[in-house]
Order: sequence, then C-alpha cells, then structure tokens
Amino acid sequence: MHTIKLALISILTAVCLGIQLLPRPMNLEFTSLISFVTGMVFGCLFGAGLGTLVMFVNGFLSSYGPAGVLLPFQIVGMIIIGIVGGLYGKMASGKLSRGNFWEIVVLGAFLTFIYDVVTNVGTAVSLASSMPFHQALLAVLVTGAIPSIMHVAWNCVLFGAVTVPLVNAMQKAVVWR
Amino acid sequence: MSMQRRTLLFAVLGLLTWGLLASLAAVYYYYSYNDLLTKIQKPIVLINIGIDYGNGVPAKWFNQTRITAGSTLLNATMLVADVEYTVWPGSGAFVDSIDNVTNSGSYYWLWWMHTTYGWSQGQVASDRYIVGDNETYYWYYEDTSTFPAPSPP
Repeated sequence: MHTIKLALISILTAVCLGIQLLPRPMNLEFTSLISFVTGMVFGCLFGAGLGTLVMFVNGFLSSYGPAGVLLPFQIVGMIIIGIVGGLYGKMASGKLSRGNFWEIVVLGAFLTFIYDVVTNVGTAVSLASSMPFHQALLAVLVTGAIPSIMHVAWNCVLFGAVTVPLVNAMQKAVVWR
Repeated sequence: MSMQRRTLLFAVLGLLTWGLLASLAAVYYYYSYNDLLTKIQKPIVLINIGIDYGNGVPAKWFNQTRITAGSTLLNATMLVADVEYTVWPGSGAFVDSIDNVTNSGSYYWLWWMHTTYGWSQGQVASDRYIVGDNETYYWYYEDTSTFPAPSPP
C-alpha cells in the first residue's frame, strides 16, 4: 500500500475515534460519514474495517458507558455503511459532481435508518430477558423514533455538506501520489 | 445502470426511509397521546418512589406520594429528595446527584419502573416521563460498567 494511503487511513481512523469518544449529544456522530467516505475512496474492506475498529474501541471506552450486548450490532451497522460506501464509490467512479449530492443525502438517510434499526434490535435483545422479544422490539422501535429522526436529519446534513468535497479532496491526494 | 433506473432507485430509497420514519413517529405520537390522556384523567395521582443509594442499605420508599397529574418523574423525585441535574439539549435532564450522592466513576443514578414483566429501565430522561397513577419507580445508584445495567433487587 502507498504510504500516503496508509497515512490517510490512519488519520481518518484517529479523527473518527477521537470524535466518537468525545462526550457529545447522542446520535450526533461522524463515524458513519467517515466509514462511508473511507469505503468510497479505499473500497468496501477499508470502510467496513474502519467502522469495525472504531465501534469496537467505542464499545469499551464510550462516554456513555460500555456497549455490552449492543457491541456486535453497532459493528454490523457500521460494516453495512462501510460496504455500501465502497459499492457506491465503484458506482460513482471518478470525481463526484453536484449530481451526486442528492444520491449521497438519500444514502446517508437510508443507511442511518438501517443502522438505527440494527442497534434497536440489539437493545431489544438486551431487554428480552425481562419481556417477550417482539414486545421489546416494538417498544424500542417506537420510543426510538424521535432520536432516530434526529440521527437521520443530522446525517443528511453531514453527508450532504461534507461527502462530495471530502471524497474529491481525498481522491486528489491519493492520485497526486 | 441507466440514469433513469438510478434516479428511480434513489427516489425509492428516499421515499422508503421517509415513509418508515414517518410511520414510526406517527405510532410514537399516537401512543404518547393516548398514554398522556390516560395519565391526566385524575387531577392528582398517587405514585411510589424508591431510592436506593447503592450502599447495601434497603431502599428508602416514599409510597402513595401525591402529585399533580401531568408531572414528570423528575418533579416527583424532587418532592421527596434533593436532586441536582444537568439539562442536555435534545436529551433532557441528566440526574447528577440525589441527596448528595453524586455520580462517580462507573456509578450513576438510573431510574426503573415496575411493569408486569418486572423492573424495566427508564428509556427516556426523567423529565421526559409523565408519571401515572399507582406506578412504582426506583432510583438506583448502581455500577453501569455492564450493559444492560443490573435491575433493582
């Protein structure tokens, strides 16, 4: 691997971990964006790998406490985002234009929703010891609706505002090498 | 993939996300509205509040506490104990201490409610939960280094 690629991935991972571990309002996160962008520029494996690593460390050191049973669900959610980022990167192939803006906003919203559903299933699993699983899942999905809308709205803005310039800048840096 | 198909794919994805989120939000507000209607039928409600300071001593109970309908669990707790809290925008009140027992290390104040399935951990901040008649709550100062946190004894 080229040194510049390695350096870029290391910086992205460090930035992502740093932000993820900072005390911040729940659901206002950058990990999904960085996993997606890494997937787009470096491929599915790197996007999913970065997401896995960040969520794994977050699972033990998060300011919200340990993730416990939720950890594998958080990792799976982030792997999906990294892989879709990689697939979209192949689909877009080359410099992103204004035409990609809406596609990225839609993907950001959809993937955030999928991530929330996957982690809500994890929460329902953790509650299933004290109530039937289907009731726990329904309760978690319904009570999680408003935080999920906030999460999706945040990621729509973030993916829309940052992805195109960030991916173009990263591709320029990698190609320049 | 042709441009037309691609546009259609993203339009469908966008509408699907919007539709699912809107449906969940509608169910949430429908449930919350009906729940609130039930809880404000009487002007005064009676609730039970237990406070466990995590020191091995049995919880202090405030049974049949009278409070105005529509009050939150935080309001109710402040009637029976000294509570300090911080309001986090978007998330609600985070209880920092009860009766001078302050969050420290992995020990935090969590609230629980007794349901037909046993103790259930509060899913929202205590200032976002409207108390209901004859409900039983438990403030537990406990080690949160495991997930899910241990339920009250």
